[in-house]
Amino acid sequence: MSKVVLLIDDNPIDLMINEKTIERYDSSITIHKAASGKEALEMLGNGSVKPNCILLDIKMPVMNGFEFLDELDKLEIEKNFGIHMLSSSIDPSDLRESDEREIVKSYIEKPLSIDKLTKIEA
Amino acid sequence: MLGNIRREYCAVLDSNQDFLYQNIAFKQLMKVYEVQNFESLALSDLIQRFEGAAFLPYWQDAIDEVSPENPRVEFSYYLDLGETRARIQAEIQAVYEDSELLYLAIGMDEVTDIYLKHRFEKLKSNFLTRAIQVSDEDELMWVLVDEMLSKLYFEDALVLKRKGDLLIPVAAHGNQRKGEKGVKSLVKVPINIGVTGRVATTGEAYLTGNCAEDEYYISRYFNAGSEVAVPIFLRGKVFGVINCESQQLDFFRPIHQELLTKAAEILQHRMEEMNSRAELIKLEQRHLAIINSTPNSFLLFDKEFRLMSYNTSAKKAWSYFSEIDLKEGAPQEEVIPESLRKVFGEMGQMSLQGEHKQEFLSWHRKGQSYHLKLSFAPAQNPDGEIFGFTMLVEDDTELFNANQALREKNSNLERSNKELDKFVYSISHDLRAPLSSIMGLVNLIENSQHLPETKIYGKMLQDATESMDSYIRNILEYSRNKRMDIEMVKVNVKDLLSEAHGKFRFIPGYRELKFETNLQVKTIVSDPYRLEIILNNLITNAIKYRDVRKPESWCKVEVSELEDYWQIIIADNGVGIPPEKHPQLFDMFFKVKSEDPGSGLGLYILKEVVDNLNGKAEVCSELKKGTTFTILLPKEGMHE
Repeated sequence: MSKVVLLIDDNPIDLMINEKTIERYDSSITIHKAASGKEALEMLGNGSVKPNCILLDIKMPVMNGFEFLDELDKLEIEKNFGIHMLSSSIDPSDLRESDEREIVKSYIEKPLSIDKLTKIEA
Repeated sequence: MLGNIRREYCAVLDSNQDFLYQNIAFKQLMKVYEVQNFESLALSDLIQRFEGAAFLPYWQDAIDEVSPENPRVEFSYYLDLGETRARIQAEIQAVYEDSELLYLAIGMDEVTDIYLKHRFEKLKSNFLTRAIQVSDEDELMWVLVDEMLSKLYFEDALVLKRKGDLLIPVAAHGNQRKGEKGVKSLVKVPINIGVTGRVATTGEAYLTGNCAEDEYYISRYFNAGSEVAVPIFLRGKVFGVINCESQQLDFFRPIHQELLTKAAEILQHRMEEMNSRAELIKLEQRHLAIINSTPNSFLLFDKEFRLMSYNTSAKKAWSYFSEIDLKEGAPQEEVIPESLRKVFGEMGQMSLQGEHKQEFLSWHRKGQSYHLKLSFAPAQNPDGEIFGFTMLVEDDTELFNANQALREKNSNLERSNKELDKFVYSISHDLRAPLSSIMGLVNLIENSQHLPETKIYGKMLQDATESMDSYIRNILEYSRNKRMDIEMVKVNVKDLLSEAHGKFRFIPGYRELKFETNLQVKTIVSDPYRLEIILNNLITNAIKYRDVRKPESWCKVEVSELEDYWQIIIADNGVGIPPEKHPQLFDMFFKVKSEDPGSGLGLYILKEVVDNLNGKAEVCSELKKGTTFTILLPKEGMHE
């Protein structure tokens, strides 16, 4: 089964770092990148991307990670994917809110590494 | 006309000594003596009738004794009445006109023990009636003398008060009296001397029928035949002595001692009453002093909600706050202002059920706001029965205001704590974001085999590092501006600008911008550090927000001198700011577009710095045309 990952991050450097890291972890994984929540919603909404896993940044302009989750809730698609928050925030309120969202599987502190990806898989 | 005869047995005779008038007692006496037709008798007939009687010579002597010079004669004698012996106190008064006898009044009292007792009871009520009206101890002694001792047929009487080891005469009757209210001899008697002294020391009454043979008797004023003395007690101690002397032997009988003792008791009761009343008044005054010393208002209401009592503070407060003149007995409508009546009614009712209640309210008067605390409590008598309730009004304004200030401070502190938290977390995120990028890139480089790829990573590392550097600088500027004192010195503007340019060289896009400088003054007087922050911020913004679609980007810096201000204008032809964003431009963490690079702190810090210098910052911007910032800095620093 081929794996599909959607990366959502406003910072192009981070987007690239995440992409490269996943490639090195498992080159068979298909990677999609979205520079904003809005872009990601479009990809999911029109069915162009059907991920198994989403890595979601929190601090993003216009629509932050949690606002994206609210919008995703309204989207009428099959949500057979896990979401992992990926952020450099250490604000306890961000951790708490992530914990409260059912769809969120874990909270990963940036930067992404192969070790951290292994933990998600497990 | 008849003189002033007040005796039990009275009669009036004319100049021929024929009876004109006899009172009922006299008539009855005549019947007892079986004198027939006494109405038509003359005195001489009566005298004849009692021929040989022992008392007759006393009467004859007295009749002979009266004269125009001496119209009144008093005399006494003993009458043997079977087993008892009665003393007769008699008198004759003659009325003359031009030395011619007109009338003769005769009268007598039969001073038997029973009569004395009877008289004493009558005198007692007279004494008490008058005693109630006096509040002075010495005055009371005189009432005793006037209303009792002088009317019990004593020749004299002396009331003495004990003071330490002495007995001091305070009131007197008969021989001892001088004028209206004087004592003939004010000689103090040591308590170990004489009959009086003995009574004072032992606290026991003493009677002697024959002074000459008595071991305690000491002659003071005259050689007395007999003497009686009784102690006056007050709270279990001898307060004084009543002493009576008579020239006659055996004048005093046990009845005299008994009556005097009774008189002393009545005196004692009255004095105790007076003292306890005085003490009660003292106690009341003490309580009043306490209650009136408080600035709080105390009011006492009865079960019908009528005002029973109040302190002076209540009187003042009511008059000041509601222009109500408090009066005892006033119904609640005349005491409690309309707006409080409901609360008052409820609280009062609960207090009458035995509950203690408190209520807080504000009261406005003459533009001032007062915070009052009302406490209601049941008022109980010693048996625990509730007879009303008290209302205590405390002015809580100061405490309330202090609490209010504290609450405000607290909420300010909480707010600034929250702001600080928000600030710290936001900063930590923004600092960690480029750092995590750097770490991620380093991870990639570590595992990379391709040189070109590594070069790209290196370029990215540089960008991330610079972004972090500028961020850290911003924070430092913010905190230094807050902390550092303002230092006004002469600043060379040209030098400052070229220094700034040195730093900007490494900012991406710097080379794409054409700078124009128009300096109308060489130096300005301001704080150089803060001036640098202002210039750095605005020029960096001009670089960052240049419009890349335009063929040429420029930034103009103009420094000039106005009357009261130094004016710095930094204008660009960059992307511009939409007008709806202008009001928030200087807010913390505000970015025109969320995707804009930077922390959203730059203009916030700029505003803080300008405010700190007591200056003004204005922005004029049009979307896609460009932005102009005008900074006005006062020539006179605020600290001068």
